[in-house]
Amino acid sequence: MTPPFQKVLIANRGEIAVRVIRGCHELGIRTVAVYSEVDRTALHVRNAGEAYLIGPAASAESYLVGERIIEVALRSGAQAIHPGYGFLSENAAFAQMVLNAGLVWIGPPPSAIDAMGSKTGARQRMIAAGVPVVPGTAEAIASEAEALVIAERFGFPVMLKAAAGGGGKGMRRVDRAEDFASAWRSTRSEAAKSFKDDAVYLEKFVEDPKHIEIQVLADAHGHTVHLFERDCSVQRRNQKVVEETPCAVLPEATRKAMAKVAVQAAEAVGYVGAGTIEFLFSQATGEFYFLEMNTRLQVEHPITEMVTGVDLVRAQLRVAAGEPLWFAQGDLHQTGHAIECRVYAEDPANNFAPAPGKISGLREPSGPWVRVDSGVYAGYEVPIHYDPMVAKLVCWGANREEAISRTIRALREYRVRGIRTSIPFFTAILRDADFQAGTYSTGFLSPERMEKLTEGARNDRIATIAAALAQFEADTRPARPAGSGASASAWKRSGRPGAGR
Amino acid sequence: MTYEITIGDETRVVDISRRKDGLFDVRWGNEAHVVDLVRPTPDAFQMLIDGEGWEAGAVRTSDGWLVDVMGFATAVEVVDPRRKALRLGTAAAGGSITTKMPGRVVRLLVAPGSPVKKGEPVLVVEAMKMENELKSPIDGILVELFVTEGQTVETGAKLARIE
Repeated sequence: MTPPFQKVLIANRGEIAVRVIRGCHELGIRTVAVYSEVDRTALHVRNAGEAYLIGPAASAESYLVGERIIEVALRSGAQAIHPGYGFLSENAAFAQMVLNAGLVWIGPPPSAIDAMGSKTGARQRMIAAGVPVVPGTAEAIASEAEALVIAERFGFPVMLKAAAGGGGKGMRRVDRAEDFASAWRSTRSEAAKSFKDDAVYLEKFVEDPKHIEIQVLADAHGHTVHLFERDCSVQRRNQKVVEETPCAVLPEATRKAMAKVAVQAAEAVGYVGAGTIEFLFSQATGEFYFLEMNTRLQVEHPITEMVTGVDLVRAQLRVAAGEPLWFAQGDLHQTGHAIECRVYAEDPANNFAPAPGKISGLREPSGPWVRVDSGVYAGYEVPIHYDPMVAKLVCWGANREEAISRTIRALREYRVRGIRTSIPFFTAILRDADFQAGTYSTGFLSPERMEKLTEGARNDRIATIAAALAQFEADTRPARPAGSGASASAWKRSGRPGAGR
Repeated sequence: MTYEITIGDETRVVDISRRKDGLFDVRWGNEAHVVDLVRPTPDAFQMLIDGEGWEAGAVRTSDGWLVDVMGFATAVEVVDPRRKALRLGTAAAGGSITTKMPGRVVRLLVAPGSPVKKGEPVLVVEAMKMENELKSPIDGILVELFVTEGQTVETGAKLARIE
C-alpha cells in the first residue's frame, strides 16, 4: 500500500507526539518533530526522523507559534501537519493557515472546529440538529438579574460556564440564590482572564452524572461511523484520571441512542477525521445530554483502539489524505474491555501538586495485553513548563474483571523513581467498591475519598526502614553497593516485587 | 547508627545495625525487624522484612530521601542526632516559606517590610500549568524575599522570610 503521505510534521510534544510518530512510521511515513529549548532531550524529538527547534520553553513562544511550525513544515518538505491534542489542535485559525500554506491539516475542516469551538454556538447547532442538551441558555446572558431569573426557573443547583471555556476551567456550581451574585462575578472575571471573553451562560446542574463520550470517525466522502463509548467519570479537578470502555452500566438501548446522536452531531457540522462527542448521563433518569465536541484525537483514544481493533491515528492519516473509510458501521464491534490510567507527575501525598523532576529509574510494565504510551525515559528530566501527564497505561481484558485485575498487576510492575507520580493511587481506585460496581459518577473522587485512597496507598513503616537502610549505606559505604551496575537485569529486579500485595 | 526519621508529622528514632551474617536489625519504639537486603540497582532496595518481600526505591534529597514503596513516593527526612545540635544553631526564629514543588515564581503579592497575617498568600509559584499560592506560616513582617518574579525555583528552595 502506498503511504498516504511521504512526510508529516507533528506539532506537539510528549506521549501524544510519540504516539503519532509511531502511527506514521507504521504507514511508512517519515516524521518531523518540533521542540522547544527545554525539550531537546524529549522522547518525541529522539524518535522522529527529523526534529527542529521552534523556540523557548514557554508554549506561547514555541508550540503555540503557528507561523513557525508551518515554516518548519514547508522547509522540511512535510506535506501535512498532525496537531495531536491540546496546543493548536482546536485552533480553527491555525488549521486555516495550514491549508493556506498548501499543506494538509490532519483534523476536521476549520469550519467544523469553529462550529464546535464556542460552547454556546455548539449548543445552538446541536439543538437545531435535534441533539439533546442540558437545559440551559443557548446564548450568553447579558446581566446578572436576567441570569438569576433563569436560574430560578431551572431550579438550583445550576452551573455557570464561560462560553469560551474548556478543560474544566471557568465553570462554577451555584446551589442557592444567595450565592448567585458572587458566583456570577467570579465566573465572569475568571472567563475574562483565562479566555479573554467574559461571556457566561447557564445550565441546569445534572446531579451525580456519568461522563460518557462517543468516538466518531468520518471521511471526506460523507461516511461517518461511531466507535462506541468511553466512560470517563473518574475525574479530579475536572480532569480525567481513569477511563474505561465499555461503560459497565450503560443500557444497550442508551448506548445505541447516544451513538446515533453522536453521528448526527458530527454530520451536522460537516465533520471529517476523528472526534469525540461528550455527554452527561444521568443514572437516575437514564437521560443523556450533549456536553461538547472535541474536534481532535483524545488522550484516552487507546482504549477504543483496544476494543475495536481500529488504529485511530492510522485512520486519521488515511482520511486526511482523502481515502474513504475502509470499514462500515456494521464491521465495528466492541470486543472485551479496556482501561486507561493517566500517569501524572504529581504528588498524591501533597494534594496532587505538580512534581516535575528527573526520572532516575523507570521500569514500565509489560506482558500480555499491556500497552504503555509514554513520553519519558530513565534519566529524563520532566520539565516544569507543560502538562504533568507523562504516560498512559492501557490494559485490555476479555471482560471487565480481567481488565481490572490485569491493570492492577501492571501497576504493581510500574516503577518510576526520582519523581512522584499518581501510580499508587490507581491501584486504590481500581480496588474501590464503587469503581468495581461501575456505578461511580463524576463526583467519585471526592476530597474524602481521595484522602482515604491516598492513605491506603502509603506505608510509612516500610518507608522508614528503607530510608534507614539508605542512610546507613550512605554513611558506611566503602565503595559501590554490592550487586549494582551490570547485574541490573530485569529478571532480577522483578524477582521480589512485594509478593502478595 | 541512630537516626531521627520523619515522615509528615511523625518522627521515629530508629536504630540500625548490620549483623555478622549481613542482615540488618532495624528497631524503633516497640518494633524490631530483621531485614535481608538486596540491591539490584543503585536506587532499588529489595527487602525481606521478617520474611515478607518488599521493594522500595530511594533517591537522595536535600534533607533525606525520596522513598517509594510500591510506587507511593514519600519524602523522608533523616537526621543524625549527633549533627542535630548544629542544625538547631543555624535555624532562624520566625517563619520561612519554602516551595514543595519546583516551578516558576509568577507573582509577588507582598512587598518586603509589609505586615502579613498567618495564612495570607505571599507569592504564587506555577508549575505544569497550575498556580500554587504560598502562604505565610505566621503573623509577622515579611522581612526578606529571596526570589524575583519570573525566577525558576527548585523543590525546597527558601523563598521568603517572615519574622
